[in-house]
Amino acid sequence: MSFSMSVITDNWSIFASGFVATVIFCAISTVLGLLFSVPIALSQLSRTWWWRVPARVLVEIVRDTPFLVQVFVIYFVLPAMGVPMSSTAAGLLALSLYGAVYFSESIRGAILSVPKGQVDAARATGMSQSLALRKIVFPQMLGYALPPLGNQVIGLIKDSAVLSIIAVPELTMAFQNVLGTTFAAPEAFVTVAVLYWMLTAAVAFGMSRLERLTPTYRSTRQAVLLLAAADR
Amino acid sequence: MTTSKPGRELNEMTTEPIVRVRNLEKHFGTLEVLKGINFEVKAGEKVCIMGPSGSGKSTLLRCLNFLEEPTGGMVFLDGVPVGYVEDANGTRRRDTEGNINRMRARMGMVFQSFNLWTHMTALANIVEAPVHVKGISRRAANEKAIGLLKLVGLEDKRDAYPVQLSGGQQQRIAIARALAMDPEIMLFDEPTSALDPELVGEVLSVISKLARDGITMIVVTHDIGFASAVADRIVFMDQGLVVEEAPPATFFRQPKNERTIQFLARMQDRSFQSG
Repeated sequence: MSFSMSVITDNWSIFASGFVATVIFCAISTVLGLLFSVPIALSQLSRTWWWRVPARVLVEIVRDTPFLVQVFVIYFVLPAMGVPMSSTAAGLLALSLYGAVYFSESIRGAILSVPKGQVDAARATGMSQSLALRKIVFPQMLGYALPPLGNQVIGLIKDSAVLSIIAVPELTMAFQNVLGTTFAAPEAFVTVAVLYWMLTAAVAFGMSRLERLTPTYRSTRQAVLLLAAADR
Repeated sequence: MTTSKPGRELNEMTTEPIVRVRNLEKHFGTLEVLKGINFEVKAGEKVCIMGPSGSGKSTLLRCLNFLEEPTGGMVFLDGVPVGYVEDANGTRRRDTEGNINRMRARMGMVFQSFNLWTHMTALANIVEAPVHVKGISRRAANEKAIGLLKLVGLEDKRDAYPVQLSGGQQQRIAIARALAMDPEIMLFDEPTSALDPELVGEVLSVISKLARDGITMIVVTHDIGFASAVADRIVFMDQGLVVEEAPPATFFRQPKNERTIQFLARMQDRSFQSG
């Protein structure tokens, strides 16, 4: 089997623009997803059903159907219902919705991991619910939320390849274009795999760095150091 | 214990209760935890609530500052209903969140499991509520917090995280945190029950010091020695009701109610075994 570097070098600009598009797509969807995930998580934890039920329904619909089907629904069904959709807009919408729902489940779980006594203590000092959320629950929740969120951002990046089906000009689409003109499958496969891996590895590294900045990490690290010192 | 007004001109402090609990009921589903509690606490009074586990002591304490919403009856703070607004014909509706929060800020609470905010240092735990709830400046709050750390004997632990502190130290910080809001009443929910025996003393001595300073205190406790030394009155609860109320001397030496007598006998057995 021959492996020709020229396939990669000749088509570098196609790969590069696909890579950049994937980065931009995933970055926007991650940010939008995070923005919407917090209200979705809080709605699910709400005591009033007209907050809780719609949020639950949305989560179950998105979580329990294949991402590919969601992309089709957004790209083909919404325009049929009179909502104009370009492939780029449909791709962003689908990916952001995916992010919002999966992130919200991590955030909901993280909020539930904060011991109830922490909130009791906050409310007992006269803090309002929103103040207790901002000052006590959210900072503590971050430590619980970041590891699963990191996994889900990586999942979102990998699943963004599905958007090539509706011709969003991202990395997998670029790979298919190169494949279509050169028929050099091994070179194109390896290049696209390495590019995805670089992106997800960078995200994984960044998330582990972020984890160290959370208040929970810092305070528990003190405990670990203390135990290590006691062992000696 | 009288609700009549005539003695008012003699000494307002001792006749008008700061806390009045009227027919308080709390149900969790079909479980009736509180079945109609009545008692009063005067300003400056130290009241210890005792009773077997499951008698509703902690639930009662949590109803006082509306951490639990009572199913029936009412708590009054300085004559004002806690958590509800009552109109002329006696129907009640929930008070505004703002009013409930302001009411809570007037009562400091110390929990059995300390509940220090784990992501904050000792100093930050004490400063947080005064800055964000009362809106006082961070500098003033810090100064005050350092004074409180001295009061509880932990000025050298200001930058320690809760995980770095022993249970007794955590509880003393928790007391400082509650005091930082200048509460009119302190509520203690079994403040030493989660502590190793050798750490109980340091926490009780801080609470005793507060008692001598004259703040109103309601303490749920199993510690007979502490209760007899500090309390003006013991409120004994069993199965969701106040069964007996008396000054400690009377309560411990001449208990009247059969259930009180049984409880005290069991407590003495226990202290004999452990001592």
